[in-house]
Amino acid sequence: MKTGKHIPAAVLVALRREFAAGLPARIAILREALDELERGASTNAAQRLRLTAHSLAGTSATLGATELTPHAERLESLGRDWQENGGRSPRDLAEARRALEQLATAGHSVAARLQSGDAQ
Amino acid sequence: MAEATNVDPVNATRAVRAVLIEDDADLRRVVQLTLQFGASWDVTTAPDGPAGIEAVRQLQPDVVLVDLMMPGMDGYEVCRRLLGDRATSAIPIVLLTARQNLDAARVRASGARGVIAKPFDLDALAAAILALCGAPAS
Repeated sequence: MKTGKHIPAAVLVALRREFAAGLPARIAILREALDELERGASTNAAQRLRLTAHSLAGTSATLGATELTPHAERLESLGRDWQENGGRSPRDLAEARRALEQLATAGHSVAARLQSGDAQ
Repeated sequence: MAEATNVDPVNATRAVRAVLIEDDADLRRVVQLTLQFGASWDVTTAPDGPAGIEAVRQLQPDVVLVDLMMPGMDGYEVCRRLLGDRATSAIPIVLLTARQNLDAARVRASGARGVIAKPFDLDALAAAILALCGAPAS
């Protein structure tokens, strides 16, 4: 196996830009799932929230968009709880809404940063 | 059905061949390109368990990388099916996960060589996979 090589910086920048470009779609899926849950919808929406947040948590952390990670992890945790246990308290729903808005706000700055090619 | 021709990925003298099963498209590309550029691996990707299992059966890779949490068939079920099939049972499997609170007993029972947690250290990813493949199956 060859060692000592790294993924070229230009490729990593391109991957981060692709991730940034896809952020609004991920957040839209989360928003739609949470809207459904607030209307009293099924575990299907909880599963969608959980899986989308889970993917976002792992990918954001790997690509250096760590501002997103704690909010995504919180949404994943709430989604898991709702999927496994069913009930959703108004307090938990409000917390999820807050986490989602924080995620969306952080997403704007992350997208601007990654689109400019700056990973820091 | 292809005949099993997989080799020890740790001691392979040619490019390591891997199948990556990961539902997140961005992460799939990151891992694939990291292993291709950084370690000269030959990485085939699949977006879900059924497609990944089919790719493993066809390609007989040296190692399989499986995201633990995927919609539909999860990583545990992928392990169960691959390890229960004589055509693929000898191929080492490494699990990928962002979960912090993993059930260690369930991971051991899965037959996977180990787990690599997200976020990945991209510069050390290939070495981490090989280190797990060098260890005996738990």
